[in-house]
Amino acid sequence: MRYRVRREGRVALAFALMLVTATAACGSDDSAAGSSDELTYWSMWQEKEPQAQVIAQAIEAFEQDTGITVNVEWQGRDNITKLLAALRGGDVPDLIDQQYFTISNAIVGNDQFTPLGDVYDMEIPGEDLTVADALTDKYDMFTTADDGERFLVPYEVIGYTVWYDATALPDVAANPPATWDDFTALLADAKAAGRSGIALDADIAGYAEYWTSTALVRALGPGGFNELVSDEEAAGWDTPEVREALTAIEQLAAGAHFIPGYDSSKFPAVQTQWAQGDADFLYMGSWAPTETGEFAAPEFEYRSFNFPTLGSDDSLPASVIGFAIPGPADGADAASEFIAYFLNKDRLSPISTDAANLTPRADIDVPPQLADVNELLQSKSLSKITDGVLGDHSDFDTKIFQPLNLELMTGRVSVDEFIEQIAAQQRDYWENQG
Amino acid sequence: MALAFRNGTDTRRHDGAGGMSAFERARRRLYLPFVIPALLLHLAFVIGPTVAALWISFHRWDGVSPMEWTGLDNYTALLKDSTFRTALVNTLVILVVAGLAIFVISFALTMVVREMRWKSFVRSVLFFPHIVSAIVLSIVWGFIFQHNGAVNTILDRLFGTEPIPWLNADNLFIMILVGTVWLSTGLYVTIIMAGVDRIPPYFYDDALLAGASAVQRLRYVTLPLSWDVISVAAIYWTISSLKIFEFIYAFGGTTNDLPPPGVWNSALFVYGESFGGRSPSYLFGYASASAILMLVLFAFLVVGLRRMMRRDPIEF
Repeated sequence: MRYRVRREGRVALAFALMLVTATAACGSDDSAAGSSDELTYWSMWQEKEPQAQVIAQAIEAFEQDTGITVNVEWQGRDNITKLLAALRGGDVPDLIDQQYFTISNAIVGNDQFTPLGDVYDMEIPGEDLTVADALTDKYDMFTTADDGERFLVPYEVIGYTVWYDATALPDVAANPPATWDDFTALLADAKAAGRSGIALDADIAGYAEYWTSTALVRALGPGGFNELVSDEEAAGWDTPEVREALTAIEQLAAGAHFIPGYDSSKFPAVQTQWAQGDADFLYMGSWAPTETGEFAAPEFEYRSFNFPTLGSDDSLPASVIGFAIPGPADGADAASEFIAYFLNKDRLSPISTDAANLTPRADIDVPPQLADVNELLQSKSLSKITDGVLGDHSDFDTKIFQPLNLELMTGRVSVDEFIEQIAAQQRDYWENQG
Repeated sequence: MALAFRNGTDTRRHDGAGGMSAFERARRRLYLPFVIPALLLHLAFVIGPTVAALWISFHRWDGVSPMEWTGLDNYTALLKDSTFRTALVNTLVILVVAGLAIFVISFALTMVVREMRWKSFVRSVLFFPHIVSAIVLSIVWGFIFQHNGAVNTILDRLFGTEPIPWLNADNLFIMILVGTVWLSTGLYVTIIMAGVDRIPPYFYDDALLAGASAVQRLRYVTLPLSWDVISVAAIYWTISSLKIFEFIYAFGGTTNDLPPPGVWNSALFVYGESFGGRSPSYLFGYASASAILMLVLFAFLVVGLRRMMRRDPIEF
């Protein structure tokens, strides 16, 4: 991960650009733009990232096989922000990729996407099956808008699990904890042995949020946390189920189960410490092995288990990364062809073999370190990470839930104070939304 | 010794065209061709976007869909938004607290450095943090002060102290203030020293002969004779403090994540409500309203500061 350069006055600049490009667009003739023999692709990857290299290989083959030129720009994670500015100006890319909620947030609510139902019906070049055939319908929850339109075709899947080193913790490998009680018993063992139970880079408020949001989903079922924060009266917070989930999280801080310095370190210091054996567990997406691998001891064996249950729910929190086509794209046909082309088993496989990530195709072998996550992806029902709150109510999530959650997870507020404050702030928030 | 108070009103000429020399008339004619390109650029890139931001601030707008007129709703919502109030307070704390620290330290350093042998070398060293990107410095700063960072390691080796949580929620903003002072002081030392260097040494010699202490020399010689530079520097700090962004962003946040809202200043607020974060809010109307409010507030502050710092210019 890298720090991206942000310039002061960026907002003013963006407005200026919007103004200038909008003015320019009014007077320009768009008829010459785009053609079916080329497409522009703004990728979320930086050129040196493994995923970029996999996609670049596919692009090369695609250009040779079809004669369609792909003008790829490796823009990095800012690509959707740039898309938003481009949507005002008219010079939009034909193909973009990102996590589902980032794309949904930017172009689905405002109807700026191309429905991809036809792409799902397309036959994958070189295979006797359609895109829809190749993908399980489990991922529909990430790829489909509320009105049933498809806006995304996934090519990478992320499962969120609790990671550990099976070499150091063979008992956990033999008998992974299923319930919260099982899990806290393991934390108590770690503490008794003088180890830290949980590694958490709490300077990433989103990582801390994974814990509490999943606990709330466990208590309320998938969609329950999202419903809780959607309620303008904020009535659901003071219920026994919510209290139980929040108390479970509060106890992690109260029991000193987090690694020392988790609240005063800079990412990725703590996850590195975890890879070096300073803490037992790390709750993280399936990128954890690739991100921490270079710091782990050679005998480190990456294993993981599903977030323990706090009630009946045992869904696997997940997310997908995929392709979308902006609504005004001129090269939508060419982009659709590329999407179907990339979903071919041979071309998608390097996402697993070279980039060490999971793909949405069940017939592609998975990297050994992701075997547990993959098994859960296949066997469990899925829920959205943060229950979709990060995407659906991002302003509330960033300004209200995440800061309060950090206070809970660092022992600064009690469950009672948390409930009182979040309910009050949630009511204010919704009142302000008009 | 020659000290003369110049009457500020004399500096502007109100001669009619008849009283102008040929040179003066030629200069007047050149005025427009020189000013127009800059004015056009300023209109396109500063005034235009500002007017656009004002217009956008009266709407609910996600950046793409048609704007929805909401009148003053964004402004009233801002006043009730505790994150905005925090950002406002943080902005003012940076302005006042960090500003005072920067000026006090800059003066102290100026007084010390101006009498040193390796003056220009020291000045370059002091200026160094200002040249390096704030992002690079903030990353280094973060690694030095984190739980297992250099500072805690040194403290442990020397005194056996427990690690101090420099970067936790209680201390993060204080560290940002300290970092901002450290980043900016070199620049203000340089500006103030340039003003102080202009003061002829015989004033100091005279003051010394009269038995003035260091503080008296500062009060009766340095401050009055470099006042115009100080007032410009103070206004420059006021404006630039509003725009501080990179240091807080990179120091408090990570690749995709904004710093915690508790340390946002107004620039972070604007960014956080528009493009910022793992899942941006795209509240362009709301962000614009906060930017406009801050623009108005700081315009008042700058005008007030100018009035407060106005002195008759001294020629020497």
